[in-house]
Amino acid sequence: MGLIADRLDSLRVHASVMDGGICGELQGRTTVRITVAPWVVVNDRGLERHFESLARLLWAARMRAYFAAVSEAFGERVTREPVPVGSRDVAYRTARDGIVARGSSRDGRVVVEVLGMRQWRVAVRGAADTALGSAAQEAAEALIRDQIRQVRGLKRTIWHPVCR
Amino acid sequence: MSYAELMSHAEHIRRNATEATLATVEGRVEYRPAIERMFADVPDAFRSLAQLPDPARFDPMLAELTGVLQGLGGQDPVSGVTMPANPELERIAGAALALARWTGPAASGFRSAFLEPFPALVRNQFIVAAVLRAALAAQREIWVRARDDADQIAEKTLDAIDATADCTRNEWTITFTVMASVAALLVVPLSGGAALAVSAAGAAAQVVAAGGPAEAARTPFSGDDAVEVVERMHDAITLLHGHIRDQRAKVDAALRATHDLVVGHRRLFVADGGGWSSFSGALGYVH
Repeated sequence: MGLIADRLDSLRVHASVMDGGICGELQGRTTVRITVAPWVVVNDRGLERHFESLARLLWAARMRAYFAAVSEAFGERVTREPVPVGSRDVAYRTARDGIVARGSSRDGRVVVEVLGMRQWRVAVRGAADTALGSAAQEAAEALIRDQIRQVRGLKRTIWHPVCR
Repeated sequence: MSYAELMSHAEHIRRNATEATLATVEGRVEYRPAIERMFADVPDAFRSLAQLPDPARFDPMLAELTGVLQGLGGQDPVSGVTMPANPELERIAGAALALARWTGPAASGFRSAFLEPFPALVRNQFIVAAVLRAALAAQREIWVRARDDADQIAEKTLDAIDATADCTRNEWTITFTVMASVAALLVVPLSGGAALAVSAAGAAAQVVAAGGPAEAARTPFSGDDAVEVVERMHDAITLLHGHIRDQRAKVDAALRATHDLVVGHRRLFVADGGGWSSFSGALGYVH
């Protein structure tokens, strides 16, 4: 296994909102852990905004860790994604940034949606309770799987004509 | 990683690119043959790079030419290293004194054809030997660096394929160190010539004068997908072959120019044949 694969498989980043009331952790490529403190009691709309903030923070932390791994592997500092070159790259970037990935918890209580891994939207049904964290992490993991599935499909369309 | 494992790296690249691409079709086996064909040529692309000359093969030849330089004595115009004068050759100067009372055509021929130009001939022979040695050292350096660069291409390609499992585009840089292996041509004036000079190309690390080495070329590559990464790998390999050709051309140019100069101005390097005939005749007369 290469260095980048190794780093991404063992990646672990944290973020929290509401002064630590809602904490999130991304482990490896697809595992998410979310905990909601017992004292967190807000109305649904407030919870949704906090989860969206948590998602943004977690993804930003994850990309920092990703670029750190890439920097280590390639021996030079990388802090952002390079600009696309060529028509296939531009087509990929445009289509990828337009991907809408979705995920929901098994009980349907939490639904997460993201456009181009930038614009997050979270919908929560019901009030905050201790089970909300596991519902949120189920939704987040489903979203990650959906994003990966769509990116793979996009790559297949653009670069693998033999697999269309 | 190391150069000795280059073909093993090539095989890893082929395998990892195949697996990364299979992942995009969720591992569906019906696509495997077509995907395997897409990357089947990866080992072939590295094959010629895996057979670059072994730099160690140049060491005995370099040692031999160092022996020649030590025998002639002088300051190496390429490396700046001074070889102590050879006492045996220094004794030639004493011959002029010993033969001071020797007169006649044979004496004149011997003096003009041999004794007087002797130091210049030795100096010029030293320069040519130094040029040959520098060319060998430069060749050696080309292969040392080309091997490192080939290894670097394989290593970064593997990392870049790894990174394509993510959805982010990646950029990596190959530093073609072979571009800085050979120093710019040096011009070394000869003794006794009408402003004649030989050209020399040396291993950049050893050259002390002239234009200095070229910069290593840093070339960025980027890709989103294993297919694209392998395409860039092929580009990098093509570039490396071109850089090797360019560096070898510098050495070839210096050697060709020096060869032409030696052939065209033989009298600057060996004693005049006419003088030797007179000298031989004179020996007959003396006896």
